[in-house]
Amino acid sequence: MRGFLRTTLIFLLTAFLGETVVAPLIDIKGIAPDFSVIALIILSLSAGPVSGTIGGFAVGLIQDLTQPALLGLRALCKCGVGFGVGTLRGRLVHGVPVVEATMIALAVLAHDLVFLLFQSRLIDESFLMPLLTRSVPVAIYSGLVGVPLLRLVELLGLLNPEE
Amino acid sequence: MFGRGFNLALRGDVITLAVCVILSVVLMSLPEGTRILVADRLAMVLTSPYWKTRNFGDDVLKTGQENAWLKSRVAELELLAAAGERMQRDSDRLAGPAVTPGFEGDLVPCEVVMRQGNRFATMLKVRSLMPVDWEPWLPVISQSGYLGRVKTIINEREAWVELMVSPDFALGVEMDRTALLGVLRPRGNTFAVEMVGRDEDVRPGDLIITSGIAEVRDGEDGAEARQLTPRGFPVGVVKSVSSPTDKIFKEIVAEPAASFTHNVTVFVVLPWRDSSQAGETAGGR
Repeated sequence: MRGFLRTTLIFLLTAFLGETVVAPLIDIKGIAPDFSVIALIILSLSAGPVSGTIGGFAVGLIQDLTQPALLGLRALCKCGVGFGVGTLRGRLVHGVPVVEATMIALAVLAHDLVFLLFQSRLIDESFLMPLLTRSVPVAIYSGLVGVPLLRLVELLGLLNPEE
Repeated sequence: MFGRGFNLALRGDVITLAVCVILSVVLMSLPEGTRILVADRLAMVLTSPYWKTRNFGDDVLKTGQENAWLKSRVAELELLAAAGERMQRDSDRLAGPAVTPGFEGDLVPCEVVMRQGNRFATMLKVRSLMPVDWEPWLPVISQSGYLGRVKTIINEREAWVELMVSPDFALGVEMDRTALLGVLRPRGNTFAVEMVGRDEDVRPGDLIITSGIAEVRDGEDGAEARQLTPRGFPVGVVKSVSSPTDKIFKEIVAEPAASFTHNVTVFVVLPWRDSSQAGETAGGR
């Protein structure tokens, strides 16, 4: 129970403080790490697919509230990411920064891919340009920033590779 | 057994995912008007408390600064009004226009961040709301009156101010009613106005203002001497007056106009000639 509370707290802090405080500070020409996805990966890796799915849905829904035209879309993308990472957690090689950075970058890309795919249909937005000019840099940046955060969470004893 | 457990866990995961996906798709497939309404209702519960708290915090922080600017503006206007009245009085007693009527300059609001007192000086550390091209000896006032002068400059935003309660402090003052000149010095918990002749007209309750006369200092690098403390800042009120028979000067005890123990916002007085520079460095208001 205590582990669950700690994991939830870390998840909320990373997502909330990351998006509202840290991201604007380390923003490079409008490109900032996607802390909500990083937080979701932390939650999914430490608590499993059920928590990852619910957490992803909740965070995505909160983000959707700022863009009512796309209500439900981020929730859908993020619950998918949470489920995917949570399901794969037992098959990942833990402690290898390259693996972790790639996993975070791929998660961000997968999220944005689905998001842009739906968004381009729903409100006639372009798909390829934002994917290449926004999502890829954000994915790389998120991978770089996410690895130290995962290390930190591991140090706190919230990631248990044995599970 | 392993397979059964695995399947059960997988079923739970899949059910959770399915529920979340269905909810998301339902939300996405709502008519646009309903979607906006739902988002609005959800936002009232989920995000509105955060934004309300954050906006309130921002407002509180900004209120402090806005208050400081308003106070500085009010103080400026009050000083200008007093200078106007003084000019009229000087004119009536044929003292003008050789005597400057008073305040001409720019008030820069600063917040008091630290207070330090020792037996040699009582100092305030002030932080300006904007970069200031300040220099030592610039007068510092509060809304109620003269406080002291800039002593040590830390950087373009911070400086130490020596208060007039410091033991070695002396200030050229004037009786506002009669234009008599004197020198004000701290005496324990009160102040004394010295160098006022025993036969002069001074009464308890007379307002004491800065004279701007006894404080002419050389500028930096041999620049011409100039007056740093303008005439007209309220310094205090005469508390008691006596004329001892064995002395040629009156003994005048004064009470300060400003509080030296509680200050939140103070104003550094920049000379008029520096106002344009101050505007440049400060970026205006």
